[in-house]
Amino acid sequence: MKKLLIMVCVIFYGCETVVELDLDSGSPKPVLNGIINPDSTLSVHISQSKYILDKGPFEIIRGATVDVYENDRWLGELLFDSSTLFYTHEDLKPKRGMRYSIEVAKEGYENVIAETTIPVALASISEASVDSVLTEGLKRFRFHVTIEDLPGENYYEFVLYAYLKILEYDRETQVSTQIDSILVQFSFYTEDLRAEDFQTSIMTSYVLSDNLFSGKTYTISFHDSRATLSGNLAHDYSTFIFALRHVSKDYYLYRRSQALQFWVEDNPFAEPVPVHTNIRNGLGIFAGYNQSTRIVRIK
Amino acid sequence: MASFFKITFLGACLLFSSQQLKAQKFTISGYIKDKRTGEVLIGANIYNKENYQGTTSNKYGFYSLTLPADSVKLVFSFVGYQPIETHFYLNKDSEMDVGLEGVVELDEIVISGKEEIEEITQMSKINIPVDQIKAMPALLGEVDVLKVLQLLPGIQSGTEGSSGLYIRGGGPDQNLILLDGVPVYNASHLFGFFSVFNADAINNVELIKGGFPARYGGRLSSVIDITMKEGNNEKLRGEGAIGLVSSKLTLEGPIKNERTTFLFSGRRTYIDLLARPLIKSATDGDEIAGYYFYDLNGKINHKFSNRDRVYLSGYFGNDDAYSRFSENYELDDHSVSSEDEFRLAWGNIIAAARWNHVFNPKFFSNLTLTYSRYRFDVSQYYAEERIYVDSVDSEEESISYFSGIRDFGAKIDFEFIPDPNHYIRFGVNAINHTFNPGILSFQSSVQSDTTVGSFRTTANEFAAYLEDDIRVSDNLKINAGFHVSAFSVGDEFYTSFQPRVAARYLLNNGLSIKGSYAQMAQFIHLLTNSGIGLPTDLWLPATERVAPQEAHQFALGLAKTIKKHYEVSLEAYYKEMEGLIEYKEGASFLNVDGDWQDKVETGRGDSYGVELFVQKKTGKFTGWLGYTLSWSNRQFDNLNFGRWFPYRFDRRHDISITGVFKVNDHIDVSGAWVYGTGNSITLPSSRYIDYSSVSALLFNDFIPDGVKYYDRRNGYRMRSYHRLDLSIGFSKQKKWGVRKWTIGTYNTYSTRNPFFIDVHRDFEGNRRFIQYSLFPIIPAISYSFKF
Repeated sequence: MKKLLIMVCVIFYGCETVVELDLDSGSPKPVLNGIINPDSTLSVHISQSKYILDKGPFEIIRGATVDVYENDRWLGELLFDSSTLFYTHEDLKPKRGMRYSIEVAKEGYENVIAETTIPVALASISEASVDSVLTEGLKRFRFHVTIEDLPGENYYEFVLYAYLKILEYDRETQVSTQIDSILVQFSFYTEDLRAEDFQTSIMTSYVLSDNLFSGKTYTISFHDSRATLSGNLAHDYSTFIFALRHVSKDYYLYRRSQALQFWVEDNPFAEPVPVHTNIRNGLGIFAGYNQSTRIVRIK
Repeated sequence: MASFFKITFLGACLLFSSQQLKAQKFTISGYIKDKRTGEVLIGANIYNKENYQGTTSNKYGFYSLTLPADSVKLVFSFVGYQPIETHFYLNKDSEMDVGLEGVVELDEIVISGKEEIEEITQMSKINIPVDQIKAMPALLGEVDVLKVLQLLPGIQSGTEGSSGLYIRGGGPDQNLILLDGVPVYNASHLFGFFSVFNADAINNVELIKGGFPARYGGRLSSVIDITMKEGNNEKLRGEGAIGLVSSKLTLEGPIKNERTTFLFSGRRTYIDLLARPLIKSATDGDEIAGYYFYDLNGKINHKFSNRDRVYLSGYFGNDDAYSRFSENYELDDHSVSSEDEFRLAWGNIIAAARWNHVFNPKFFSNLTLTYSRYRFDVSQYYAEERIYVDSVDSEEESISYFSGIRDFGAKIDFEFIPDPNHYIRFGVNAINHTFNPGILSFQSSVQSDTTVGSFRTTANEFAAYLEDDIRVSDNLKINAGFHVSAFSVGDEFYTSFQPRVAARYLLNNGLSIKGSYAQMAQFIHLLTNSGIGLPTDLWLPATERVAPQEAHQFALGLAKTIKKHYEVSLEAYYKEMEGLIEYKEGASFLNVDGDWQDKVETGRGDSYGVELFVQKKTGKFTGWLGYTLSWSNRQFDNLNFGRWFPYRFDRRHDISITGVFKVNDHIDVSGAWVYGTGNSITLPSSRYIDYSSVSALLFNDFIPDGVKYYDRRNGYRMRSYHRLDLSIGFSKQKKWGVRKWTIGTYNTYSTRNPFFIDVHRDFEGNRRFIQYSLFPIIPAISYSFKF
């Protein structure tokens, strides 16, 4: 009987083998990352991919020639800024409704080409409010945002910023006094978004399409998703800034697929998710948006 | 002159009457059975040596042959049985039930039937004798019909150990698996390692992978028609086996004289029973955990007369993985007792009632009523009771997820054989489906109850067909027909007209050329993440948003019997499929919220290839060689950026060599060697920085993960798969019957075949590709008996 049991155990013995695979690791691809909007100078980040098993850092591509075109008219050349690692031009700011093209030339790579159009219409938040609820004994923020959808096919990204109070604690008087505040991105989650919408991996923004509320208003509620380290989570913030970005379709697909890849990484049953790219002869994203904001102060 | 006219008139009258007598035709009909057991022989040959006209018995053993009034030399034959030849003068309709006697020494038998492989119009059809299936080496000694089918050309096994079938580039849902005419939706036990079919209860297995006759419909890629035994009508007999993981017993016999017979077969694994005392002792009796599966097959048939027979058959099978944990402990002011129970269960219930009626010797009918249910359940229950001095506090929570499909069906099939040049079949059928595509239910004594998931859907499927097997000349035979089907779901009503044609032309040298075209439609889908037949796979209907599947298949082939023993066929095929579904990238059955239709993409596929099959069915040595060269691809607008990609089970080369050698009456040796190109998988080839992380590059001591880059879906091939299985059996005649010891090895030279590959990262950030393998060499021993 004992031998029988041992043999039964052997049946489900699985084995692991480290294997060398014949994957194409020879040529790193150039990676262009550029998200542009009318409120910032035009800048892009250029690096190269690395073999999946490489442990080292991602390598920045320096010394490339980066030309920018607006509606096919040459605007100028972006120059590498070693303090930010971006290629940029401080006089160039994208304009709404304009089409921008980037062409990157660097020896050893095929020319990298990408283009995007900054959406014309500004997205609109018609209502925004903040309240708080008691969840598992902790007071937490809850946010409500109503979007006025624009005509046609649209894609949005919702981002929440908050001013975090910097407090100084006086041990003698045992009183905390606000000495400053800093602007941070605030993490949140929601339960009422539909399957097509997706929270980005950093949990501080949502991308969504309007295909189920086209031409209508759409109200979303968000919950505070910060870690529950302190007893009262609703006293550290003074002001919230709701930002609604009207983004290009490429941007939506990129953020959505990137987030999806992140979320299913440990799910053995899910099919792998390739990340969307609109970069010809390379990887990454070159996309544009315009943004409207609404400020809500906490009393 | 007058006498001349008289003589001429008399002569003409005589000639005319003799011509009329010659032209008159009569029908010989009846059933062909195994003489010893009374079991019907399906596909037995009946032919007249005088004019080389013949037919074959249908799946109920019935045959009908209409011949001119004349002297006939009728030969009845079947592989593995001594042929019978009978001579008589046919001058009236005759009923002739024939019992053939099985033989041990097959070398002596020369199958003289004309229905050899080159004669049959049907192409892409394979019959494997059940005895040959039972003689093959098997994983853990568990003989498995579906695993033997995986060794045939054009049929791929999917992943290691699984009993899933991927036929000519199609998915596992595209196989119509019939048990006594009833569809089986999940034919797997133990996560696909075993199939639900107990070989001891099976009479016949027929596989059709192309050139589908019009009588079959509802699936794109194959029909696997499994017929259960009817039960011995001579005396009570039994057979069984005791193996490493399971035991089984089959009993069959007459209930009352020869008119009513029964068959009952049961099988159960007992890993759980063996392990239970160990688990209990290791956990002080607090915990019980285990897994088992069982099958029960039952069949009763009654012969009311030579014209009417009724068959009732059923199958019940279940897999059950469970754990129960309970504990009691004391705290300062109260005592606590808790109970935690988890259960994962799935199974099929199948039932059929059939009525054969012979209207006249040329006209046969079968009415079938069917029920089929597949259900998958996961449940967890937790209860806790806190007993204080003056009060009792308790809470309960249960969460359950279930999915499944249930069918009620009715069909009537007719066979009309007016003469040896026509074999006409026609019929209609209807199925009422109920789909449960994944519902999660949460119940609690302290929180509100919640139910999420997809809605239950009902649908009705209808079909009708007409086909004729036409003998145009001695050289040319054609099977032509059509299958029409319709599907009603919600407000949607789908219809499909599917022409079918197959032809064979016999050349003078005994070689035949065959060709076929079949259009198929399938109104149900299987949504699968794993592709290996896990019980979590969901059966779903075509809906307004998700269209039915359709396929067109062309096949061309050559067939010849060489030296009377070797059947050789070479076939090329091309298949196009539309309406295929796959989970969206990143979606899985674990996301139960929302409608399943939001989680799928629809697309198309194609497959093409060449198959060589050399089979030897008789003699001391039997077996086959199969080779497939094939391609199978998919294209979905929203997967892989819309580009074509290889199907997960696209396998360029697939070889199988099997053999059973009967050394003498007591010893037989068998072996199977398989080789297949590695499966396609999706692996990342590189990583790159994403936009959200670019600012992190400013910090030298932090390296962000970035995102993975996949060249293409299923763009990498795992290492090729190969395996040798061996088995040797020792039989001995005992007073009570025959006993047999079988010793075998699975994966004899212990190849570490790839199951899947993953990128693994250790704590120091080093990444490596890790290949996971399932089975090293696995020895098996079993004891079987027959009385």
